[in-house]
Amino acid sequence: MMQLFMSFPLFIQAALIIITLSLLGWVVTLINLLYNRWKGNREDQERRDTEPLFQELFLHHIFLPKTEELQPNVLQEFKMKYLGRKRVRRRLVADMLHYQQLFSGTIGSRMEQLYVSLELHKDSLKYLKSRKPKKLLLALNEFLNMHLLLTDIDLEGLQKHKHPLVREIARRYILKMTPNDPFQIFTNLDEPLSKREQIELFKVITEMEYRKLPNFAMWIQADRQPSLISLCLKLAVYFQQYDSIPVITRLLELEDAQIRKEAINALGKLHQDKAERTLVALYDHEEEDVKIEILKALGRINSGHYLNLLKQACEQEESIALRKHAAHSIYNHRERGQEVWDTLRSKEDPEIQTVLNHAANKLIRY
Amino acid sequence: MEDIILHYLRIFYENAVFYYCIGIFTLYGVLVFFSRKVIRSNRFYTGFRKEDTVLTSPIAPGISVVAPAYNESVIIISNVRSLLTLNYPLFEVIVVNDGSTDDTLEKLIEEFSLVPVDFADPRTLPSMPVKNYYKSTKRAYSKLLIVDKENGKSKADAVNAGLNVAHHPYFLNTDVDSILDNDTLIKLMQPVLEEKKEVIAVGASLRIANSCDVDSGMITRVRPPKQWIPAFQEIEYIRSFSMGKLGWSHMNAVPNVSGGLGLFNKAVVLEAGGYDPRSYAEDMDIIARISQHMCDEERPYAIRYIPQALCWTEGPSNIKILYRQRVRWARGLWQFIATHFKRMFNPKYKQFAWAVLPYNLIFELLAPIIELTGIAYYIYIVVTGQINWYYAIILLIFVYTFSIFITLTSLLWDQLVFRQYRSWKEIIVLGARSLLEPVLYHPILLVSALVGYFYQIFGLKNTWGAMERKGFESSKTNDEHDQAS
Repeated sequence: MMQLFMSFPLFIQAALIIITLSLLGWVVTLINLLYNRWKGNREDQERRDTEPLFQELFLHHIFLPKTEELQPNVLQEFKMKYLGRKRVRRRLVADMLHYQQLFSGTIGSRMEQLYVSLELHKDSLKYLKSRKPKKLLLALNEFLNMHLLLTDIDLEGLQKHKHPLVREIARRYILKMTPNDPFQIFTNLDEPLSKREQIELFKVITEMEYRKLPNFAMWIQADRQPSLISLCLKLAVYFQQYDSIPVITRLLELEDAQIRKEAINALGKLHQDKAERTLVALYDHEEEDVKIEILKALGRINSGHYLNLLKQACEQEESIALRKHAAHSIYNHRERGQEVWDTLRSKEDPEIQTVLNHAANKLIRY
Repeated sequence: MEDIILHYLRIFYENAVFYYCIGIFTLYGVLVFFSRKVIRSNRFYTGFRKEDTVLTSPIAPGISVVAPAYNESVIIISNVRSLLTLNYPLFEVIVVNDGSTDDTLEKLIEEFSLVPVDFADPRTLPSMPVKNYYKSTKRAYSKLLIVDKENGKSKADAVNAGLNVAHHPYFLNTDVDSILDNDTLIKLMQPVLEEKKEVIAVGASLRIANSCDVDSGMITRVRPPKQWIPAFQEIEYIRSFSMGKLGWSHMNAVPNVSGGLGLFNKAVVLEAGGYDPRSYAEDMDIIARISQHMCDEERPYAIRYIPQALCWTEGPSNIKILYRQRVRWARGLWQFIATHFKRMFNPKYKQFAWAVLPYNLIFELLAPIIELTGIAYYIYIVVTGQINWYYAIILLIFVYTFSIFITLTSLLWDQLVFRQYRSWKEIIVLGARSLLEPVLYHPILLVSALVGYFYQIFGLKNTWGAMERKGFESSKTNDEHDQAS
C-alpha cells in the first residue's frame, strides 16, 4: 500500500492525504452534529424534568410563602434530594437569576435568602479562585445579581484582570455592592468604557440611593476618558446637577467635536441660559453636527434671547437640517417665539414654509 | 518543439490549478477555524449579557430601519407590522415605496391611517425625486414614515432616499419582503455596544424562508426548504454565513454585509457618499467605500458579523429566477473588482486592500473562469486520449470530499449556535442534499457567473424581470402538510 502511495506523483499524494482527512472530517463532523443534537435534547429533557420542582420551590418559598421565614428543614430536604448534581444546581441558579431580573423588593430579597439557604453560592465561591475568566465571570455575575457582598476577594486585582469582561463586571460589582467609595472605579478608570458598559453603569447608578450619589462634575474633566466624560454628562443631566455647569462649559474649549456636542446637549437639557452666550459665540465656527446641537440647546433653554439667531439660521443656512432644527427651536419658544414664527410664515420661500410645516407638525417627531 | 512547449504548458496548467485548489482549501480551513472562534466568543459573551438593560435604557443609541418596497402589495402590511414590533427601545421604520405600480402605497395608507406631510428632507444623498411623505395619524404607528418616490431602478437609490430622512445614528438596511427576528436590532447592536473600536457595519445570517411557517409577518417554525433549489440555497447560505463571513469577521475583512440585513453607522455611510445606484452589487460596494473612507480618515474601524440567523427571505424557487439573480451578482462582482482594483495591495487600505480585494479577485471572480478552463481541459485530454483516468478520478474525489467537508462543518457550526430545525430528520435531509449540491446546483451557478461576466464585459443589458414571489406559507398550511405526510 505504502509502495503504491509512494509511486504516485506528489500532487496525487497530496490529494490522497486531503481526501483521507476530509473523509475523517466528515465522520467527526457528523458525530459532532449528532452528539450536539443529542446533548441539546438531553438538556431540554432535564430542564423539563426539573422545571416543575423548581416552580414548586419558588411558589412555596418565594411567591406564595406560608411562613415569613424560609423553612430550613424543608430546604435541607430539597437540597439533599435534588441538588446533588452540579448541573441541576447550576440550572436552579440560572432560573433564580432570571426571576431576580424580573422582581425586586420582597420577592427579590427572598430569592437571595433562598439562594444562600440552599448553599448555591458555594460553587461560585470556588469559581472565584479559578484562573479561567469564564468561571470568574459566572461567579461575579451571580454574586452581583444576588447582591452578595464579598469581603475576601481582591476586587482591585479584578479591575486590572486581563479579560475585559472580568474588569467590566468587577467595576459594576464594586459600584453596586461596596459600601465605601464605590465611585473609585471612575477615579481609577484607565481604559475607555464600551457603550454597553456605559448603559450598564447608567442603570446601576440611576437605581442607587440618592444620598450615595457624588457630584459627577468630578469626572467631567478634559484629562479623563472621553467615554467616562460622556457617561458623567448623561448622569449630571439625569440628576439635574446644576453644580456641574461650569465644568461642562469648559468642555466647549476641547478639540473633540463629539465631546463638545455632548456638552452642548447637556447644557441644553439643564436649561442653562447662562451658557447661551458662549453657545452663540461658538455657532459660526462650528461644524454642522455641533451647530445642530447649539440650535437644539437654544430651543430647550427657551429664553427668547437669541430668537434672531434662530430666525437667521432658519432663513439663511444652506443646510436643510440646520434650518429644520432652527425652526423646531423657534416653535419650542411658544408665545415668546410667536412673532418670529409669524414673520417667517409670511415669507414666500417655499423651502422655509416646508421647514416650518415640518417643525410644527406633531405627527413628525424628529 | 511544439510538443515540448505543449508538454510544459500542460504541466504548468495542471500544477497551477492544483495549487489554486490547495490555496482555496487552505483559506477555507482558516475560515473554518476563525469562524469557530467567533461563535465561541459570541456564545461566551451572550451568556453574560442581559439584553433587558439595553432594552430599558434611555441612553441606548437609536436605529432607523430603512426598508425599500417595490410592488410588495401581498406582504406589505404584515411585514411592516412586524418591523414596527421589533424589540428595541428607540427606533423608527422608514418604508420607501420605490415607485410601485401595484397598490402597495394605497394599502399602506389605508391600513396605517397615513396622511401626507410636509417633510424637510435634507436630500444629502442623490436619489430619484420624492413624490410625498406620509405619517400615521394613529399614535401606535408614530414610528412609521413612508417615503413615496419615483422608481430608481435600484435598491441603492431607494435606500439613499430613506437615509436622507433617517434620524438616528445607526440604520438597518433591510428588504420589506424579508422577515426579521424580533430581536434583530438588539442582536445587531451587540458588537456596536461592546467593542471599543468604532463598529461601522454589522451583518447577521440570512436564511431561506420558503418552507418556514409564517404568521403575521413572523416566523413561527423554522424548516429547511422542501424544494431542491431553495434547499441548495439554504446550504449555500449556511456555508457562506456560518463559515465564510464569520471567519472574515474575525480578521476584520468582511467582504460584504448582505443587502437583506445590515446595520450601519449612518454618519460614516453619509460621509462615504451613500449607496451607489449604478452598482449591481451595492452591498459589496458600500462596504468597500466605507472601509476606504475610514482608512482615508485614519480612523480605526471594525465590520462584524454575528452568528445568529436573524433574517429570512424568500429564495428563488426555480432555475430561471435563480439564474437571473446570479447573473446580476456576477456582474456586480466584476463591477466591484473593476471599480476598486486600483486599491489592491495599497497599504493605506489595510485589510480591504490585502484581504477583501485579493480574495474576491482570485477566489471569487476567477474561480468560474478557472473552472471553465478546467472543464475544457478535461474534455480535451479525454478526446485526445491523454487522460489518466485513475488520477483524474482521484482529483475529482479530492475536490468533492473537501467541499462536502466544508459544508458539513458549516452545518455543525450553525447547529452549535442554534438548534433551529426541530427534528433530526430535517438536518439529515439537509446534510444528504449537500452531497448532491456540487453536482446539481453548482453548475447553475457556474453558468450564470460566466454569463454575468460576459454581459458586464460587453456592456450588454439583461432583462431582470421581477422576483416572482409566492409568499410564505401559513403555519396552518404547513401543519396540515405535516399531518398529511
